[in-house]
Amino acid sequence: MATTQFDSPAEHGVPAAGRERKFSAGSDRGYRFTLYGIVTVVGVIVFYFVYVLIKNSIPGWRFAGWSIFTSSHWSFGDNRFGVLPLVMGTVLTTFFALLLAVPVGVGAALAIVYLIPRRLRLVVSSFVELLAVVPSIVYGVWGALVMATFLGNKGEPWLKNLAHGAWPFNGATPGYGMTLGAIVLAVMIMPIVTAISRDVIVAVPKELTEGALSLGATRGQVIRRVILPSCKTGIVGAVTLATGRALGETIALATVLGGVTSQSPLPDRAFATGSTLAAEIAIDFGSITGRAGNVLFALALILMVIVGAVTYLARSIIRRNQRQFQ
Amino acid sequence: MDSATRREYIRSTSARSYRRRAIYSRLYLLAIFVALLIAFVPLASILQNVIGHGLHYITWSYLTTSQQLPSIVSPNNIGGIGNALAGTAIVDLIAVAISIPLAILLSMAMFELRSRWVSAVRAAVETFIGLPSIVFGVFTYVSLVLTTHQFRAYYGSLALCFIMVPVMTINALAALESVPDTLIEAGLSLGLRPSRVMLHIVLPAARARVFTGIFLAFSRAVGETAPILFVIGASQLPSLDPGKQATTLPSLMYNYLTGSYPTQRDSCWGIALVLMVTVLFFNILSRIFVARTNQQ
Amino acid sequence: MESADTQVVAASADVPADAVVSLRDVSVLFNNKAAVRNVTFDVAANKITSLIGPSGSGKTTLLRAINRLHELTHGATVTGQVLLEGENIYESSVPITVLRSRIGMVFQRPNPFPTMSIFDNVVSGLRFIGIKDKDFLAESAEKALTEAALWDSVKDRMKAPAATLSGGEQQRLCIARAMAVEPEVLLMDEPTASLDPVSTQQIEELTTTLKKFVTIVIVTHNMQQAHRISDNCAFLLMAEDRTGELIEFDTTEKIFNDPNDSRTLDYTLGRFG
Repeated sequence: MATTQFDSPAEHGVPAAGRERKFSAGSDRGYRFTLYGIVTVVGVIVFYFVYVLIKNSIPGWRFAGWSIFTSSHWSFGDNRFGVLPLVMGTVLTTFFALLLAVPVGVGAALAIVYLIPRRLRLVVSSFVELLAVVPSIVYGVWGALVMATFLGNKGEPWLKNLAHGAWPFNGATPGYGMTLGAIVLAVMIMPIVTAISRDVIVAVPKELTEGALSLGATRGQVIRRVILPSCKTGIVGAVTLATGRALGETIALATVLGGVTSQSPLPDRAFATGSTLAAEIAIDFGSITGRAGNVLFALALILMVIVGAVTYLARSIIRRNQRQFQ
Repeated sequence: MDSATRREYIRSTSARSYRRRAIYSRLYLLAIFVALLIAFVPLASILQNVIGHGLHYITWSYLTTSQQLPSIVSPNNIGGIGNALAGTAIVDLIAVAISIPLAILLSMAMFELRSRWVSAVRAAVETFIGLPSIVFGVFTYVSLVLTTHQFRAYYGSLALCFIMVPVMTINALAALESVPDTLIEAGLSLGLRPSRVMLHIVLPAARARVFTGIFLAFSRAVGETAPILFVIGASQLPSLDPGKQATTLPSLMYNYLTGSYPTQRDSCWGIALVLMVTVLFFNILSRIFVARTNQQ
Repeated sequence: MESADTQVVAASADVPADAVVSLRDVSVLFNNKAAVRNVTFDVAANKITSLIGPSGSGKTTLLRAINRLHELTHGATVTGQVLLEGENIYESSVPITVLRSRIGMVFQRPNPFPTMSIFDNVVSGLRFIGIKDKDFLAESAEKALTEAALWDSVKDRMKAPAATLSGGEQQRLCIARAMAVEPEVLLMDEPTASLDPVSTQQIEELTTTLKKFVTIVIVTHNMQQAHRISDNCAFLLMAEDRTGELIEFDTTEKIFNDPNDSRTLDYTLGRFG
């Protein structure tokens, strides 16, 4: 089943040769005019979008000054704009979410392809992909009302016990906070990893499996030494998309992270509360008119730069991998 | 080593290592099975909670009466979600009405035209898909709400367009590109103008996949909170006037969740149930169209 | 599914001394519908035995029964006995992975492992078994590649990705890979079907030299190829109920010059195909 929201048209191979010739004849001017018009309108909107974002963030940069990058103190209400806690929050929640979601996601995809009988495959993978359909706000509700109490009463104290109170499992265990955020985020991105990995795994030619088995490999060896290496590129693509999603998640995290507070100015332990760039924008949105509000635009820009950089980095890794095999 | 010795070495190593390899293989298969089980747990928990806690809210009056502010005297009187349902309908339907033609025209443009400008716009659209939806809310707020000093329902629709149009466009473009060249050439050789070829041949052939994209984008937009939260304001009246403020199911949930009344917080489950049913409905529709595409 | 003689044959009783693989009343069924049935013949050691016949006659299906590859397919059952050196591989206490390394297989389309280098591909079978000794692996690689007539071409680029080889070279790499684990039998499933005529000829020549080292069973729909390279020939044909049957098994000489069955004659004369 195609996960169409992640397809890129470039991967669908029908060549455009016939279409090039069509318009060299210059026919059907009205049609061409309309289409160019639409593209121009959209282009203008895109430009305007970027312009508004940059224009409104400039006063923010000026207002906050370099303290955005040099200070580690974030407190919106007091005009303290050091983004370090937010950047840390963004990076940490995304990193640990990936750490949880990627092995589970890829493992689940392998299980769907190699352990589940073919007739049931569609049902099982639809079930897992159902998680991707759940809106962020519902994740927020589930995280805040169910997981927070579970973690606060059982999960976090258990972890703390296991580590005998050593860092990073020390301090208060409120339930809300970075750990909850990472877990909720992991649940949100896992279906992306599973769905794309499954498509990639299924696409591995059967002959590779047969070849390995006929050499005397065990099933585990076949998966680990033959199948997974061939899927590396596709899985990296899946992880990239998952990362992009995680970095930009706003609403679910806004409701479960607990915010940057005076008790927890930096997310320096597992049970700390904190915030991310995206969540913070949502939380402080109310004051967007004042000068301080412009700082939120600066945050949005920083976020977009990070997301853009990660996406670009991963795309170039994928491209380099593909070149290796040609 | 001569051949017979080699063969002996290989056979004996193979026999000796078998036990270890078999155990490793079984462990590996067990690990991925466990991964699959783990993958099920959160979904089961969410479904169980949403249905378990939310089901008893679903009554006709809940769906039709509007939200009411609880007071100290009657803290349990929070009313229903009728206003949110109306708001969701108006915000999302307007968004769809704008997005679909725009997306289809845009995909046609990307399909037919080959200029650097078009490729640039296409790259921008593909980038927009990955952007956090909050930035569209921020943009809409600054360009519309701050300038007009009003919250309006259709501002939310416009914000949703930023989310829906890229998804629909990319899907529609893939749909158009999947139409075999032979069909196009046949139409052209019959003397049809390119616009006619597109309208009468290509679009109908690509129909199923275009619908997939539409339903997919719609199911995503219905659940969106961040972009619309601060541009539509809030309304306790079930009005369908796009020029007025509105409340949608997600925005209501967010306000209830971050509010101070436990009764409101608890009723989030009921709203979640309604929202999930709606989202699931359109998502399943989109999968039906995927199946139809694969049949062709 | 009817079966004329279903008596269980004692393994050693009627297996000729020089037979490496023996098929006794072998049938393969998919979801209880037989694709090929009641096949009985012996594969002589260090000889090339070809399975010929028109498409659909069950040649490949039969070949895959010899290394138990049908276990990958849901709903596939194999009845009868497949004896490897007198022991039924379907009932053996020896683990399947060990058995499979005694029976190598080369497939219709070359299938080198794309993420591995040439060297890693050749020794992959040995590595699966758990052999790590670098000298042994290097020796095995050279030996196998020499047997596959590929050593001179690749000895200076052993670390290059396998995908950089041409089609014919990739197929020889697969042959080398199969030979590296020193199998007793080599199964070849239309190995030249996807190759150009030059590569095809090279592989045919290669196959005739390989029989010094292994016993070969080759499926081919190209009967001239069978005539050129094989010593013995099994002719299969699809019956009216769409099940493949063994029509005749004999030396290649006999099959092509003076077959017992008229259908065999018709096929070799190209009257149908």
